Amino acid sequence: MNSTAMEPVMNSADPPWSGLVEQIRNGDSSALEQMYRIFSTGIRFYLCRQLGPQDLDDKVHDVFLIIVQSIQKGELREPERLMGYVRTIVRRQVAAQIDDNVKARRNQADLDFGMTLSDHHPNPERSAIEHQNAELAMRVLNSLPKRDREVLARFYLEEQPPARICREMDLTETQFRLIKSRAKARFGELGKTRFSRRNGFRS
Amino acid sequence: MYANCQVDEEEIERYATGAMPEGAIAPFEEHLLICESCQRRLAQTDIYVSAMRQASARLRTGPLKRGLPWLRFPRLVPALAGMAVVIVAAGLWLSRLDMGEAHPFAVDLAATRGAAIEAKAPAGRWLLLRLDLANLPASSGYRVEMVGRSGNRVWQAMVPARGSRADFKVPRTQPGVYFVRVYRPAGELLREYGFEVEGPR
Repeated sequence: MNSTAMEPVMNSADPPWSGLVEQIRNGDSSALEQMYRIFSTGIRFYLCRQLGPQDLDDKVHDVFLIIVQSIQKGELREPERLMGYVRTIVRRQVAAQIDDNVKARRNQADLDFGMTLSDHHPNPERSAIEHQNAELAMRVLNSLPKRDREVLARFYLEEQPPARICREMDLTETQFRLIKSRAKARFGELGKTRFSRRNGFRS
Repeated sequence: MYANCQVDEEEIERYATGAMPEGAIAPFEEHLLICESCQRRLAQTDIYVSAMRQASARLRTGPLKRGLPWLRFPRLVPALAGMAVVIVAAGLWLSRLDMGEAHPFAVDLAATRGAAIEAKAPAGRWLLLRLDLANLPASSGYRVEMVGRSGNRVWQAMVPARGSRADFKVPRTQPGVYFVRVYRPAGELLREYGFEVEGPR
């Protein structure tokens, strides 16, 4: 049950970052296109997961510009660390965006005496999807023995460590994993069509 | 990009639930930037974890909700015992509804992103607020402040971090929109989350 630190996942299919960075420094437009192809989906996914889908295209564009400009200024000193560099810039942008949101909210609070400046209500479609997903999960839970339900509630709702759940509920690690994987597989079966249709971070 | 990606489901679930060890987050996120397979799997895992949390929370509070209709129809109670039963049942109902600090309502603020406020909680209950601290500067604890919609502070405390998460209880609150602000102990504002406390319908 110990969580092992993940090794960096690199293999022979990794792009030659040094060459790519060198081409970008030299203003090669095909290298820019290649970098956009490699990173744009991942940047979009990360930003969407952290900040939500609002103005996503603009945010991806901004991040990409920052990355390219800083490479061209020579700020990336170790080209082979391109992935880490991109991640750092994306995280900085996320932090800056959150900071902006907080400041905007403060300004709104200063101005706000009963008037609403922005819509705080969730997207109705997204709410409906979340409601449907919760219903699916409810069907999965209701189809399980009480003990399995308890295991899943402890893990997902109460966030108890797996070792504690196994100890207190007299489970082996394999039994624990099986309970989780069966429930997830069942959820996947029930929601298969929706999963395949909806991936919110896609453009 | 990665035809033979070897990241397993457990790893993705650990990241999605904020249980990934600090040292493993950077290599995982770097991989995530260029692996569409992992992006897809993480998106599905996020959906699954969120749905399981909501459904589990509903199941945990289920008996309370199922009890209410019975209490609303005292006509079903035999006439002679009616008043007594209603009084006893009402007493039980009130004692269960006022669950106090020992049984707070869990609110996961990890999914509150962007401008929309999606996390909801009932009024008149203690709340167990759960914050996702991933990507924040490391600290053994943070100062957390809860303010109302107009910025008036309603609660604050020092909250210890548990990995990339923090859980803490806040007392019963009135209906309304609230914001939870996370500060470094030194005072720097790091993050803000919103949630809505809903009044009875």
